[in-house]
Amino acid sequence: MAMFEQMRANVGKLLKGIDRYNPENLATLERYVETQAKENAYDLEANLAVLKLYQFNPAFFQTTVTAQILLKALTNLPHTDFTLCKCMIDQAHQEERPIRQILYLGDLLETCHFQAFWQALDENMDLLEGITGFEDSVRKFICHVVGITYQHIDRWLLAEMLGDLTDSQLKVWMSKYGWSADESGQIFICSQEESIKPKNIVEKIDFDSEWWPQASGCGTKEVPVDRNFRRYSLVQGQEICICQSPLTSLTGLPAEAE
Amino acid sequence: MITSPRLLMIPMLTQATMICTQETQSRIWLTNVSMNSRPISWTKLTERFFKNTPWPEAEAIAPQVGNDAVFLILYKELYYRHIYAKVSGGPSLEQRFESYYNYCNLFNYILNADGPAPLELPNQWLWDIIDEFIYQINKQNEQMHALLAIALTMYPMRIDESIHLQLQEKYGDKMLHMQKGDPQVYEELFSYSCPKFLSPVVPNYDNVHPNYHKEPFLQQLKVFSDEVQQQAQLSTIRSFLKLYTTMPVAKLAGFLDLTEQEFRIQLLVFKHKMKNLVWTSGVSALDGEFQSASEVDFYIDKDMIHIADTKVARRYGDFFIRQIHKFEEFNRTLKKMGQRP
Repeated sequence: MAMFEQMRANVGKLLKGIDRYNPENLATLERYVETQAKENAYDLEANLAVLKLYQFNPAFFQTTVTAQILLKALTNLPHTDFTLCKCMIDQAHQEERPIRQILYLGDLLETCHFQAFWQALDENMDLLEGITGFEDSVRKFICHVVGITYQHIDRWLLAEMLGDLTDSQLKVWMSKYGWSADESGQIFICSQEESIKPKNIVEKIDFDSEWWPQASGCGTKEVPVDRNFRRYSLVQGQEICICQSPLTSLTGLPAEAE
Repeated sequence: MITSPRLLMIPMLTQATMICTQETQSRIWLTNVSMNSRPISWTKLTERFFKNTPWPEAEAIAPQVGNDAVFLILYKELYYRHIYAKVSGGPSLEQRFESYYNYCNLFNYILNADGPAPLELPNQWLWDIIDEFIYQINKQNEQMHALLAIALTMYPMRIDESIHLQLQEKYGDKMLHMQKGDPQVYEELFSYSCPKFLSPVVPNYDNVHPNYHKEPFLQQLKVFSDEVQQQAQLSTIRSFLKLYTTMPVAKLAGFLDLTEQEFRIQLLVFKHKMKNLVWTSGVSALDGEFQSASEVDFYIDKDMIHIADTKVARRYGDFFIRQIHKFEEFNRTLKKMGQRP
């Protein structure tokens, strides 16, 4: 991580102001991408700056650097970095190898076709050359999606989604997330039923008990505003007068007669 | 603060009629008429004298109103609003700038006053000012509605009633098509509302093919269409989820005509796509945590799916307030009738 940390401050300065668009800085930024790949670090802003410079200076476009940027973006799922990168790579380049393959892998991950992803990756392992920790980053994403979806999941299904892990490998991931196995081969993720419950939204308007008229009639009594900032007050014992605050006029209720 | 429902008509206007001479429509004569005449409203005067042409410029009438700064600001608000709405050709670039500066002046006047500004304006006018401001400065109202239609189809949630009604009017039909998964409607609305995308480089003029100018747009359209495609099945799945509470996964898959494996995958996609980055704290607007605002949620437990829906009960407060207002108005009218000889 040493090189990355060293470069980060320097690159940060480059990215401020107009220097960001200076093609002479491209070499530094490209080296920075390489460093991120080697040291399993990540800097989205710098990588987007590289893609932008490629857009303005097509002669300097480098497929290998672009491929690395895309793969690094995948390691940051579920953030939408990958989509951001796609917006800055023109169609012609998107169809070149290996960018086309990487886009396909990205699509598989975004559509949660994890088993298919590992298979496709197997057939294209050379893509990953130099990207330290790529597979584990993808597994982190997969565990994130599993964590928000499942309460109990089949052991074999989880192992398959994570890339056909062996039992011992699976145990490592389970302990990372505090997931426990039971005897029936199910893995307990978390108690989803605590947080995912049907909701019923009901409007509640509280009336102060002093609001109701006494036998002898009463003057104006004001009650605290309800959640819609309307004040209800009582005038002359029987009539109900609604005092509207300006806020209600701006919430789109039909114009009341003034 | 701004509460009273009295019409703001500076005394001169309530007692006057604005008359246009035959020579120039921009000349105004203020004459005093009897105090018993009803105040003449802006809309009626516009109908009569300024149907498609601008009102006189503020500078022209300023002397008549004693150069009152606040009056002129409010006058200009109406003046520019009229130009945007009715004058053929719309506002010139300079008029757009002037209108914006006028809003700045108005808001500064209100915000800079010590204590509430000494101004009483009808609620309707206030609403119109804010509405017009957003319309003018965004100038892009229609595009915003189209984008909202897309967003709401892909991620249904409760929004402001009045906006929802407008959306239904304009795009109700298209939203139905999008829910069914029609990619063409998505592309149509995207094309309509997206900004003009430019190529970052000059083309090679010796070797330009016919559709070159469209490429930047097509590239962005493709990224959008890819995203739509990834979420293509979610609308249907959502509508099925709303129908049930607990069920075996395999059974619900059957209803949707999917294999159990493919259905589980789509459920993962649903969860993944419904979680978005929401700013909670931090200096950068790009920080935040992943949150779901989906009304329908679920979890899978072994081979069962448990669905949680959000139901909104009918709101009764608004209904009663509206009826109470109606009756109030009714009572007032009755009282007035009773007073006539």
